[in-house]
Amino acid sequence: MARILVVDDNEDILDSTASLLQLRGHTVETLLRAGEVLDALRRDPPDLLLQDCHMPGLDLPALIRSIRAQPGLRDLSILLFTASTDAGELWSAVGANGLVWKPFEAAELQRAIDKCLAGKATLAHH
Amino acid sequence: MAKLSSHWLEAPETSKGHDPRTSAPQLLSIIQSLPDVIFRCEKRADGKIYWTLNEGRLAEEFHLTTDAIKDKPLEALFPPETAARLLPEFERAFRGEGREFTNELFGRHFKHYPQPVFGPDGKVVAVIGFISEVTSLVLAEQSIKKLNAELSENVDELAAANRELDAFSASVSHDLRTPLTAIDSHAQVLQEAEGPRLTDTGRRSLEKVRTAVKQMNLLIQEILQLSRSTSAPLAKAPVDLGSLARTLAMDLPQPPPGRSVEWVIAHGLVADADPQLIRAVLQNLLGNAWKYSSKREHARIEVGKAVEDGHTVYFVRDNGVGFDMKDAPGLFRAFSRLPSSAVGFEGTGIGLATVKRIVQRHGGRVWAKGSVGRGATFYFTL
Repeated sequence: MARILVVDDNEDILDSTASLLQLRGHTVETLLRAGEVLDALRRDPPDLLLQDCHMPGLDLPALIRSIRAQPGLRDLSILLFTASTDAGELWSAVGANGLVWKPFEAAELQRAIDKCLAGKATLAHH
Repeated sequence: MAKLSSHWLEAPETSKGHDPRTSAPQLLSIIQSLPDVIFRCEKRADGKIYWTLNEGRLAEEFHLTTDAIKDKPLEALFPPETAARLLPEFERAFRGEGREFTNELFGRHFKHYPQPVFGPDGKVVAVIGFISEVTSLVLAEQSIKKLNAELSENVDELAAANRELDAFSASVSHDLRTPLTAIDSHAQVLQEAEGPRLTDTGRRSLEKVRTAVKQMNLLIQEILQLSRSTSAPLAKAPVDLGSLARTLAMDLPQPPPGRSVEWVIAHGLVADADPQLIRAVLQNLLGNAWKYSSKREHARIEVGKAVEDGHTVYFVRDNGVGFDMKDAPGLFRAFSRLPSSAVGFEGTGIGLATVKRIVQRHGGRVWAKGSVGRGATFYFTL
């Protein structure tokens, strides 16, 4: 069981994803705004960040760079999830640990989380 | 151009009597009937150029026949700007280097073919040649240039429109998937959290919601692919279609127990194609072959090539449900699915439209042969 911070600007996706993760025994925090991610991570570092790729005001490479620049967050597992087809090559380029395509199968998401936490880069979609 | 003898007009009826081929009046009447001008000019002691022959219908039209211009030098015959264009060209010919040139007179265009005539001492004694009107050619050339300029402008506009469309499709597909994800995730929450409390009808409904979500997600994916197959720039490279087909075959679902799929993929299927786009072609054709043979106990899918009329033809063949040849014309139309064979198979009706667009962009052709219950073969050239 892991502590997971889920970040997405769509409230429906945020709520349902959190529920699916809680049903699997994870402890979940959610955030709707990209600008609050870094502070939240610094305040209370989770085991894994599940981060949407396209949010208002989000510069994903910059966010990941600033996360990696934090001493306590250098090795944080970052799993991206996206509704965009073009993100296939993005995730490893920006320094994330995996990518899940929306819409996703809860079991797929769980597998991707497991792989991320086990330190293996992962690409999953249903 | 064949060299004319310098003597043919000056020594017409000599020893051989009246050979009609060398009879001056006869030759002259032939020349006068030509639409062009045939000329001969010399330099006189004053250093100016004078005509000893200038005949043909054009000469007549401009009142520049031999008799009319006798004893008038070049400078006296033409408007100053025309003379200024002609003089250096004729001077060049008199130096022994005749070359073709075009000049304009009263909005019309004339091509000159001057040639020096050398005397026994190797000096130029005269310049002979002919003049043709090329106005219609020049005008056609000008309009082709204009059309080409307009065309390349249109191509630029089209490319910009395609880029815009591509960005639009990407953004629409992202925005469509977002609510779809919310529906699917909430449906999964319901399934997992409330499943036990639902009736069978409720659980079945939920399954149907999720199946519809998957179908719509596939549709979004394929619309995006169709749009990209038009707008993506074509970058050709040698592609081994055989090994690509083997990779794609491995991505397809394993057949359930009791059912087998035999893949027969030829070697040496290297083609010059855009790797990304041709991948979409094979993905669609193999996916179809897999899908429509999925009700066979022993499905057989073959990828190979043949030579037809000297052209390499690639094919994907299956032993599935096939189709009625009368439905063949509609096969490659977007959103059109076959009435006879589509029953019981999921599909969007976009895959083959994408295949056709990509093949056409490679300058190739795609067609299909099949019969109901006896499989289908899709052929394409690149």
